[in-house]
Amino acid sequence: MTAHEIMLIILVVSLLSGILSGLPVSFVLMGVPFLVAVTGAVFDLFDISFLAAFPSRVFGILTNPMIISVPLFVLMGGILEKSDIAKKMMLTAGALFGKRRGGMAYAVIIVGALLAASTGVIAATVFMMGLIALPAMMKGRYSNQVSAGVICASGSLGQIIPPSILLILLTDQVSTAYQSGRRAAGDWAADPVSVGDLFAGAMIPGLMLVGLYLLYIFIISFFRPEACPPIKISQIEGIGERLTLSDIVKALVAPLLLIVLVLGSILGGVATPTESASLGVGGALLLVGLNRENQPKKIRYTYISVGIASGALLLLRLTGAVSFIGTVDLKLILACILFLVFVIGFSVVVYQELRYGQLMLMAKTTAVMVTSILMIVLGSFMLSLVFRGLGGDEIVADILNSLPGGVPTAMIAVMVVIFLLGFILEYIEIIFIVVPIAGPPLMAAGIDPVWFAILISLNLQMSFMTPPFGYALFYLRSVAPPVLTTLDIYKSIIPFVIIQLFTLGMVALFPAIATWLPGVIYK
Amino acid sequence: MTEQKNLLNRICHGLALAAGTAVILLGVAQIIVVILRYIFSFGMPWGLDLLVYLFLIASVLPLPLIILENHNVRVDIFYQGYHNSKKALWDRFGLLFFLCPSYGFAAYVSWKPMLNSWRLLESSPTMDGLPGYFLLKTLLFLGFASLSFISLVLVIKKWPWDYPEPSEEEV
Repeated sequence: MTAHEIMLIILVVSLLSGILSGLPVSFVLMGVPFLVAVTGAVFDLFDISFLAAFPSRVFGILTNPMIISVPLFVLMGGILEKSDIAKKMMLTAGALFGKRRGGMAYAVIIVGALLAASTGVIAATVFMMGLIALPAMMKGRYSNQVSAGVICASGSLGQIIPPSILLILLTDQVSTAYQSGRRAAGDWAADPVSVGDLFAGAMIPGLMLVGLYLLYIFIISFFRPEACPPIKISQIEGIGERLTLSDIVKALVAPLLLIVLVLGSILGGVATPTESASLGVGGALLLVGLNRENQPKKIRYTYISVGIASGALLLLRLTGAVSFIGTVDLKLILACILFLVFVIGFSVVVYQELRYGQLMLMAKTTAVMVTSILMIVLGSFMLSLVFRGLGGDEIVADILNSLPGGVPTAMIAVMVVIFLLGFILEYIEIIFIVVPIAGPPLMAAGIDPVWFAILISLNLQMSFMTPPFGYALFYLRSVAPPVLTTLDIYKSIIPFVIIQLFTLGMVALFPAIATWLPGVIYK
Repeated sequence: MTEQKNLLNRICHGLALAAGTAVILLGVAQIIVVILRYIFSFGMPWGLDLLVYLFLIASVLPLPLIILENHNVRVDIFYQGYHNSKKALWDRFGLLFFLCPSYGFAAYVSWKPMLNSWRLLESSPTMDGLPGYFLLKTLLFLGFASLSFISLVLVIKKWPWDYPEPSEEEV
């Protein structure tokens, strides 16, 4: 064993023990590699000037336009989450579907998918469902093994269904790994991977999961109807006696429109993810303002006029481009007036939300959250610099290349490592540590980057709900009544983990499930 | 001592609030940019730069607050069983040996590139982009340096962070 290999082993062992010791993960990721590097430099095993690249790498990621969408999607999710929209969605869907067999479970899955596509905040989704859907299901005599599992599984959909923060961060890492891997294989013209590619790639696997969850409930309701009986509206706390059409429009149709706007503009190739995210923030502000009780009429009309002006601008654009160049025509004048209405109206909206809503608080929380992601990213940069400086990337590449069975075995090995890491680390650490190290040799061997990324996200989502360490299970545990035992939760999630594993296997066997849609949209 | 803490606290919260403002401006600026681009086919080369600048400001300014208020993710399988005095000792160790030197080093290696950037009064690499790139590099340097500094302040304090007393039922 060479001295470098010993240093690498020390690095890995002290990293793992440091993280398990309970010190903040970002401290350990940053500090341990640095100390190992300094020790290595003392014994002439490490060239410390290697670390001079650290600031420029950090600066590189902070000025990467792709990442800018992260705070905007977080803000959009935060605005929607802080308002009662998620809660109303759950209540309305419950009232709408609950009357049939398995209906409340269908409602949970559908709301889970809708929230995944709008807020994407897993913890909040599981909390909300645990507080609203779970009591209703328990009162309606649902089997505990159905209710808990369906909530944990549907609540975790935010990881895979776009727009997901995981997919955005993964794009950056996979794209870098892909290009360096292809260069190593002699291919200098590899196309970068875009956020749109991954969003499109995740669509079908995500919908497949939703479909399979629904199918599972359908089968249960057929063979074990007593496990998921119909429930009465009165058993759902917080909803009136009757469901009006305007309730349904407000609680389900409006958020759905917002989702279509955001995802449609990205997948349609009309807007970049950052642009769509900003539209999402604007739409969320409108939605929240319109849902607020006791809004003065004048203000309400302003909100509505902003919505109408933006819709009209969109329609106008669909009839053909508007340009400042050339003759001034009616269309240009109309567009300018609409734009003016929008700008004035939207200023009022922002002012209102700052004053009466929680916009400032949400924005501050968003910034703090993005920065805590940044701290972890900084640490993983330091780690990968030191790891590389000690020759670790070559060792990993050698190991992956020498595995019996070639590329498929290497893929499986990487997936198993990611799954196990998912028990102790959050996805950000895993993405930024594993992908830069294991990605390039796999890409050099010809693995498709989109396929690789989707497999990783399906895998991480599975890790998120696998007992005994799944985060989603902890979230539900913390809000569920003691009658629902931890063992119930563990047992109930098993069928969903199997569904997840099945989907993962299908995507692994048939890569086209992930790669077909991006190919159609972006080629 | 309390007053000092308050001052530092206020500064860190102020920075985070400024970062929040940057997030809002980022959203608003992006909406305006996308409307001008999509509806009026009117693009500004500095539009994207503006967004990048706001993003960098929003993500660097809260750094001190995150350390000061302990917004860090940790794996608490073992940690939650420690006594408060052991938690504090362990955290102090992490701050002193892990955080302080590594970010001190990061600040040290960003010093020279920052000076070079000032000498050129570097502007954004985009054509017709915004000036003031050197200010962003300075901000990043200050971010690293503040992490190193605040970790020292926390090490010296009696308790690095607030450790909630275990509630009666748990005892």
